[in-house]
Amino acid sequence: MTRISLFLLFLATFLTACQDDDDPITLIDVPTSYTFARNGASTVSFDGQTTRIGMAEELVAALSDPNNSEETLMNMFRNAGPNGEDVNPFADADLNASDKSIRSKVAASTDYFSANATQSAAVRADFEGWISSQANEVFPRWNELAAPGEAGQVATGSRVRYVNGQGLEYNQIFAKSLLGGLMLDQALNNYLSPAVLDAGTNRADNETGTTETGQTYTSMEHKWDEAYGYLFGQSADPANPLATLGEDGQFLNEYIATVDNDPDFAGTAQTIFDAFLRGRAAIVAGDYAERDRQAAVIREHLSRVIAVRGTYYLARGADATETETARGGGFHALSEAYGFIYSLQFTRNPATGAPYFNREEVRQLLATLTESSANGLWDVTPASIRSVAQQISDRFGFSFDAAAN
Amino acid sequence: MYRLAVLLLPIIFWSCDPAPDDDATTTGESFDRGAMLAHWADDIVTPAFEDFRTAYADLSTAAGTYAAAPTGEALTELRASFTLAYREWQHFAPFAGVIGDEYRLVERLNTYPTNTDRLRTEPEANLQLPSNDDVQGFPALDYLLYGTDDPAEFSARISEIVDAVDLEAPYMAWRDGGRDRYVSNSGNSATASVDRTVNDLILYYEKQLRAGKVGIPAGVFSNGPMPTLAEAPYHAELARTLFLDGLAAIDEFFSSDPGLATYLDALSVEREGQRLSERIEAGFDLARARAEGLDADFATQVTTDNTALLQLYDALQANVILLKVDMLQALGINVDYVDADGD
Repeated sequence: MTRISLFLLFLATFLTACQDDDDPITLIDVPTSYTFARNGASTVSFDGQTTRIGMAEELVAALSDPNNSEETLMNMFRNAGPNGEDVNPFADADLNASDKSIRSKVAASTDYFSANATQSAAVRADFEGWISSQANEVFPRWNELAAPGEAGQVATGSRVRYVNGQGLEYNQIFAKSLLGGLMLDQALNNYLSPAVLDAGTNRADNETGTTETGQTYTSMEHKWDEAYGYLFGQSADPANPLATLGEDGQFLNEYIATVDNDPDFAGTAQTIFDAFLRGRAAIVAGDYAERDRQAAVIREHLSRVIAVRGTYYLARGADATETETARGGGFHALSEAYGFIYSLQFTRNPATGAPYFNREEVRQLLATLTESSANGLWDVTPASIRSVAQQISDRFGFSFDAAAN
Repeated sequence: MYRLAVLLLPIIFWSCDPAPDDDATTTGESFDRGAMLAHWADDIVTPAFEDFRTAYADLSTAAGTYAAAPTGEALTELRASFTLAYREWQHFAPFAGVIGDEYRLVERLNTYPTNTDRLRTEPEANLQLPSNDDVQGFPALDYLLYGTDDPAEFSARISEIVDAVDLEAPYMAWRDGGRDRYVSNSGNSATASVDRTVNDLILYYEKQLRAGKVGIPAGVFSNGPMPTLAEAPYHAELARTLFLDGLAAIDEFFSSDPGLATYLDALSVEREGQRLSERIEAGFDLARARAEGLDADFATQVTTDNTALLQLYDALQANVILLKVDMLQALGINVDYVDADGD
């Protein structure tokens, strides 16, 4: 009898030791779907994020139409003319009517850029440079074959890609850099930041249930939801976004899904969603320490999505570069990788509060890809490409092979 | 107590292990992959390439003759050469990736449906551009030779389209070093020849044979049958033949000894009490039997009795599972392609 009791005690000790339940006391009521209400009315809202994702999708598509002028593309980026005048560059009238724009939220987070206007301006100049170069370098050579030093067409299988003289697709760089420059930066470094969540009287208002004028939500609740909107703002059912994950938009949503589909990173999507859910419930319960713990989980895992995907595309590009006797087949993957690497400067390491790679480190990684020879991707070696991927996977602490396959 | 603690150790470790390792795969140490690669290269890929190259050279000659003097006799000769070359292409196409994806032979020679409007309005289109894959190759020739009122009007363009694709450079590259590198790359990494050949083959089977020739015209991926998306719709008596040629190429490759069937048998791979190799071969046989009962023209078949084409699709799809999941798992090969990510 004694022996059996001891046995059970032993078993219980070891089994519980494996469980992650160091928050035994909690009064947080966590729902199963992202559904929160006050007096029967939903308090969840992220229209602004849905709008910006919509703008980004139209602009990315427009970068592949050589009939568009540089001015049209810039107007889409600013949702304004060169002197701030009202313009209607979008096909969707609701986007034209909006007073929001992509540009105003690029490199615009409180934590990273409120006291660094210099760097914010440099990032925006990068994006505008890609737009301008697409219009001025690539569009004029839309019906020409690309060659080292010459923009034009290359093929990836049955798909036509349009590259600059270095073999880079500006539209891919632009789109994948927006993942970091707009979406990640806004979500991780702005809306999930205590500096934003707790700004002004937010905590007191949240305690008393004082809502924003004319709205059902407190300001803190809304900020948290705005981060959520950059991931799930276009979901078929935003309350249960994992059901259609990957089908709802071409930005963060798609890449959370692709990383989640890699068995080495399975569960990533659920982890991120659960943290959003629990953090939002913690706000309702007034448990701000718990809120910030969940924000840390989101920061870590969403940052890793960018790194894993960047590593994956580098591996694809290295393989193509190695196995093909003619260059070109790997340019698309490497152009995507370029954007993911660019986005790393907007990631957030919860342990340090800083990006996993700062802007200068990102510049060096990109230089390895494109500046080791005059013609960029036309000459880069598989070893150089893999060295970049290795640096990224090492820094994040996952294996190159796990991300590459 | 001491004994109990020892007893508990496995339980402790087991309960803490987040992801049990389950990817132990037999790699078939005893099977000679190098011999298989040499057989593939010398007895399958090279002859298929040479047969196609010869047929294509004949097509080029016939197109040149027709361009010089577009007589009825020359047209008859040209059409016969076209049919022969298109058929030989089916036997070589699954292995075009072995020769080199960078030559883009599959894309340039057989992108369909062809763009008939652009063929008429852009007679000067640069055929070297990837954006012009849909105004060249066999599908463009099919339209110009069989779909127009007077092919003679396009005789010069027909010849240009044929000659736009150069087979000599890839042939020389394969003969002078390509073949040897292929055979010597006999490891089992993602970039090794066996892994890449098998991936190319399954991709071809899935995308070209199953979807392109059958599933897409049968409306599997749309709201109804799409006769205009069938292969060789203007010839109107060729699609079934082309399909059967393509299926035969893959079947023969699979069953050829030493090949994938022998490799699977060497590893004693079975599914539901039967050798996997036999199940896959039975799948090819079933698809062949179903195809043989169809109209010679799949564009016609989908409008008269699409169910029969859907049944062919189902037979092909059943083997996709066996090839792509069961076979690859048994051989320890990873799928190296994914569905296009839409951007």
